[in-house]
Amino acid sequence: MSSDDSGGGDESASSTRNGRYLYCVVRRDDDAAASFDVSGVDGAPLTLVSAGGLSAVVHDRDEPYESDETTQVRDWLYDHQSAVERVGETFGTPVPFRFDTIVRGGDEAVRAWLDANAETLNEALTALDGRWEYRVEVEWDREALVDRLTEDDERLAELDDRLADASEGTAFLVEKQYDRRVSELVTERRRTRSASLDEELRRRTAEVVELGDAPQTPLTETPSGPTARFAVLADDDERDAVGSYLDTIADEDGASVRYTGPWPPYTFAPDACAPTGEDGPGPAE
Amino acid sequence: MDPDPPSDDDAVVDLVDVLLREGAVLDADVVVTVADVPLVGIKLRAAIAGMTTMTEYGLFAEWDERMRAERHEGGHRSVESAGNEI
Repeated sequence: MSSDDSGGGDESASSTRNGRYLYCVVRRDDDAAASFDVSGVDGAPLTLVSAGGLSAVVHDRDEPYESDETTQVRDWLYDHQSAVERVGETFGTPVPFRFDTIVRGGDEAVRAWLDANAETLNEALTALDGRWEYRVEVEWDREALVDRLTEDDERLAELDDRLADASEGTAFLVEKQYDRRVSELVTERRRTRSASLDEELRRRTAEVVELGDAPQTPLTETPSGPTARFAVLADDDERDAVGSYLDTIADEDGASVRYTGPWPPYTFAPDACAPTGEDGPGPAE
Repeated sequence: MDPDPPSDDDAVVDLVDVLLREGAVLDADVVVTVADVPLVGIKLRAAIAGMTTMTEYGLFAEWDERMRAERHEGGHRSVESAGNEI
């Protein structure tokens, strides 16, 4: 927290003393820094560590946060999130870091790291300026989808006819073929739907990342139907354009839409910030 | 439609996904690790998702391997130097 501690004094490799929990990096603003008063995980008071035109938002912490208590973890995540949000309100869109990122070596190590990565971080801040991340998840109702597909598909109609006339043994086989065909059609429909979503989102925003349909965190209900998930980077106008577009698809094939944000641009932050700053991938785009 | 804010209950899935999975990553040598597992958050993530479910879907193993690989790549071009330069 204090800038007067000796910083990089103890450098034994295994030492976790003098750690700094890193929230995000923002453009330096000494006026805003003078009245900076934000608390972080578990109410920890946050401080700014600045080098050149950049500031890192940190608090003193030697050990990673760990708990088996779901509610505890959730509270920490909310603390982290709201801290970065508050910082963003004052300093503009930050480069956000993953939860529980702790740097050893005190403020000095943080400054050295900021210096080494100044180019990558500055490029990222420029690319992200004025934009935030939004998450889009569309889940189609499998039943509704199947009903619709069944009406339209000739192959299914044909199998249906055969089923009507089939003996018990044959019926079993025909039913299997029928189910397989339905699965194919659902998969295909999800793929085309997802591709068109991707295209429409791209048309309306600065950047889009498809997140795949796997339930990443089965904390709540796992999606039962085919699902497509995206992260988009958008300014206020783009956010509204996406919202209007999502309204138009909300009823297609029993689609339900989840639209959340603004998030700090976690998905669009640079992948890695090498200490040397040589070859860190730039900000997306 | 307007997006639901991150503080909303509906956004909790994204909250977990976003904060534990995404975001800029620092080099392994500078970052505190837990029992040599080069990321933070793994245990938390497992706790919150439920280990059984994660294992069932193969998500945890896959994710863990990917994180390790990612960290490993980062580790090579790295530092000690952040410390040494000071």
